[in-house]
Amino acid sequence: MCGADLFYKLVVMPIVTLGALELTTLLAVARLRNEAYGLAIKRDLAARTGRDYSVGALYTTLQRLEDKGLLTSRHSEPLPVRGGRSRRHFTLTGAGARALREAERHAASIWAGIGKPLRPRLA
Amino acid sequence: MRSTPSREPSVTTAPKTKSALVTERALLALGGDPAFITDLLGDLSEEYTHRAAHDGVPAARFWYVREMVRSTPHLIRNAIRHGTPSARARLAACMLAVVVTFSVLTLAWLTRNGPPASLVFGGGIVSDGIVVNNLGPVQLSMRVLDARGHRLERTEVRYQRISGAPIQVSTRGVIKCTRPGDAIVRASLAPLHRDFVIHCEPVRKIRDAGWGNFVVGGPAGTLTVDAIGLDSQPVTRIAARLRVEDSTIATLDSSGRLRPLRPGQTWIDIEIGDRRAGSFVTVYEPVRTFEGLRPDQRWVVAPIRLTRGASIRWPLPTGVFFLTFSADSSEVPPMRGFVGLGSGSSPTVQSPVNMTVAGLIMCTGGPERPDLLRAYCLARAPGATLILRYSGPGGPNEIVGSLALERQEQH
Repeated sequence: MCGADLFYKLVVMPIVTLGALELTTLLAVARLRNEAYGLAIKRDLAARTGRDYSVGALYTTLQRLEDKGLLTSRHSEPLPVRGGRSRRHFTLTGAGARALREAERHAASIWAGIGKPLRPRLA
Repeated sequence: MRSTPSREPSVTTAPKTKSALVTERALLALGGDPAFITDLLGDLSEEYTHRAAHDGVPAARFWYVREMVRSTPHLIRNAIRHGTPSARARLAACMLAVVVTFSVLTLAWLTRNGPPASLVFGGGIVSDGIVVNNLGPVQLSMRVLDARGHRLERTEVRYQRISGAPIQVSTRGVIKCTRPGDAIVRASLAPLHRDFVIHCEPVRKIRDAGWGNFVVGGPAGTLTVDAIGLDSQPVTRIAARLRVEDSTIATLDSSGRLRPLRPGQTWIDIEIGDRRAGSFVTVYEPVRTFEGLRPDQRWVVAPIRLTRGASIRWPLPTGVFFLTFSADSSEVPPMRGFVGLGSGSSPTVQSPVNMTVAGLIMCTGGPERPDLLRAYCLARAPGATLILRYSGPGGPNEIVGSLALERQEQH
């Protein structure tokens, strides 16, 4: 059983590539923890990136991340402030956490060797 | 907070606004994922409530609409991914309706008419007014334009004679010129009005529009048309309409000059007032000699230069054709008709230029013109020769002219 699990992890686990919006959304979900629902993620992204993503764009990204298995979601009780609709809270999965670590490692490796401050060298 | 399975639409317990319900139903009918739509509309409602409390309802509404518009591409993509075939068909129909509506509205906006802004003349215009060459009643064509230059239909322009010759002008702009004269007429369409001159120059007939001969590659030319007025004198101010029957042979430019394009014959319709006439135009292909003409070379012209006592001999093609010699110089004394006939050489009339056709050919003289030698010939077999001789008595040492051949179509 142990060997089968190991085999599964070694062979089936894909390398997940993340787009810029996917990465920042995943980071926002990780940061917001239990408060990671659409509107909160949108506000967090606006505050940190300065970009006002549309709600449609955000949910498309969240759905894609969920399809990739990097996020999972659950619904809250219906709320009057939402016209009787419930909030959908997102949580990072293990694969999502690994994808974030991989993205961090990848970023660190491509930035390696770049001294600070980054200036153009004069001829 | 309780967990529910992902992608399931939430159970609503609180009332929703009517417009939100309509929006939700429409999006669901177009095949959108229910969970996606519920989440999106829920976030919009929550933010709308927040903004309405802080920024006011108008600002919140503006944000809501803007956000819906920004999210539309994502809603469409979601509907395409999750919708059933029938829902996709509804979506396609909906998108088509939106595109068509937008296009129609844009077109309508671009072509919309404004209020009347200017009155402009229709036809028969010269720089200082309108020339009327008609003997019968004629309707003035004043166009009404808006500020963007669109022509406005269904406008009631009123006309009134202000001063000048006593021409008849009805309020609807029908005028009748019974004699020559100029009058000032006012066209009015409140609040616009415009005064203009009517030049009454009635034309009784068009005299001898004549023939026009041109050469491919040669200069453009003008046709001379004599318009005769009621007093039997030529009318100098005319507004003529010219139309070339076959514009591949010759065209008329904006200044009325005829520009030859390819060999052939065409007819020019000339309309002045309520009189019509026509002019026959022939365009020739320039050649150096008639020797070796191809069957498709039906209209050719060759330059002729003859010194006193000299002659030229050119073989003629078989078929039916006209031959025309015309001298460039006015020093050449007048000639009378064609001078050579029948098979074999024939004596000529008294003329310094002698055109003779020899061989198995039959020729007859054409209409008399003082400056032309013209013949209509039928050559049944090869072997005919054209002889053009300049005897010279009474004329200059050398004559310059052109010899044209116009072959009739063979059936």
